[in-house]
Amino acid sequence: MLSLNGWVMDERSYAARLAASLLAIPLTIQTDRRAEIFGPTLGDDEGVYCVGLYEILRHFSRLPDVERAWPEGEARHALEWALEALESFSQARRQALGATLPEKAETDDVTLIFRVLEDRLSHAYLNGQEWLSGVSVGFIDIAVFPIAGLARDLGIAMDLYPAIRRFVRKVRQLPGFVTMPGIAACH
Amino acid sequence: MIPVALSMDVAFGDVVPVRHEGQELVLWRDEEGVVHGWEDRCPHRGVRLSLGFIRNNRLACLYHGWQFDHEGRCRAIPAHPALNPPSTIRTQSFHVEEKAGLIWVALDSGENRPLIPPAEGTWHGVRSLAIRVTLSELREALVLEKGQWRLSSDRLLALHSPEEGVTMVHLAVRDASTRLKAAEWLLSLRDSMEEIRC
Ligand code: FES
Repeated sequence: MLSLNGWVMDERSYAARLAASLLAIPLTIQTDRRAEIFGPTLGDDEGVYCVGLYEILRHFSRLPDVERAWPEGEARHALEWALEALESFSQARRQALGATLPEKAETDDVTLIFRVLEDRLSHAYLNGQEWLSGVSVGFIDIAVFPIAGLARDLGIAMDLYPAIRRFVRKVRQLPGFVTMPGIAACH
Repeated sequence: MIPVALSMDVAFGDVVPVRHEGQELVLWRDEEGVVHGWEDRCPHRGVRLSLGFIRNNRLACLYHGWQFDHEGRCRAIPAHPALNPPSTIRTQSFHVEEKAGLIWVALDSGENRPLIPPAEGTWHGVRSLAIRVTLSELREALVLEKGQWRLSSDRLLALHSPEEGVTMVHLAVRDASTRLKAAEWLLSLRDSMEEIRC
């Protein structure tokens, strides 16, 4: 069985867990504090073979029962954008949660991430696409979900982002949705 | 009245935060399809109701789970299940109307309330977009002397002001097939407005 080494507060480890759960991939989960810095890793009894969220998602997409195409072309750019955005968001969030004094957590970079995400989600919606990944929830959606779901930790004013709100609600309703600290279960 | 959201962004089950010139509101839609607009503050300990969720066709506060019905009356207190909460426990509600694909809230009482546009029939929401300019800068650019909206034959543009220096623009169209094009126009409005500013 596949085993994920992740850290409970790490946004990337959460995205890997969420992906496995939504795509019904059986997985055991090990706590590994190193994931806080280096991101999650995936392996089995033989050893570790994927390091980081990108490689893990890529591996999931190759599993026989996973009916999700690996994004190509434009969609690949969207996935790369999502993964980079998650990295910067995660840095800003850690800085905010670890600060000794309250500070303005929403940096210009973070604002830009939310604006672009809002634009992308709105565009997909008006195009009649349910998800950023197309007709069903896929890797791009999963990679950006922690950003949307944890927005409150950075004090993001969600009234400015209606498409992101709609997206969060839709992901929460999916069978197999899982939570992490900061993303509550009720709703 | 103030246009605060597109109808499509307040579906049943959504709990929507909205701000306008310092007033914080929560919007939600009940099972009958009626939208309610309340002060975003729980009468119990003041937690934002917009963090809450819908239970039993009521808005439940996230903190201690008090539930408020469509009239804003508290109907259930989970810590005291047998208690029938007194009718004095209620949220502060505002008059809400839904028209032309938008949700309008009366924040002022009385006659000096700005009017709702005379837009009949079905309108389709395009998107609500935050633009980093003040309400007056945007009004000037759109040649909109006062009021919160501009109506042309096939487009309705409405504005509100969530925070200093940010204006929310709501756009609805008559013909659903023009939504993508209208959205592009709105993005170009944002680009040009924000460019002028910096
Ligand atoms: S603060 Fe809302 S129920 Fe206590």
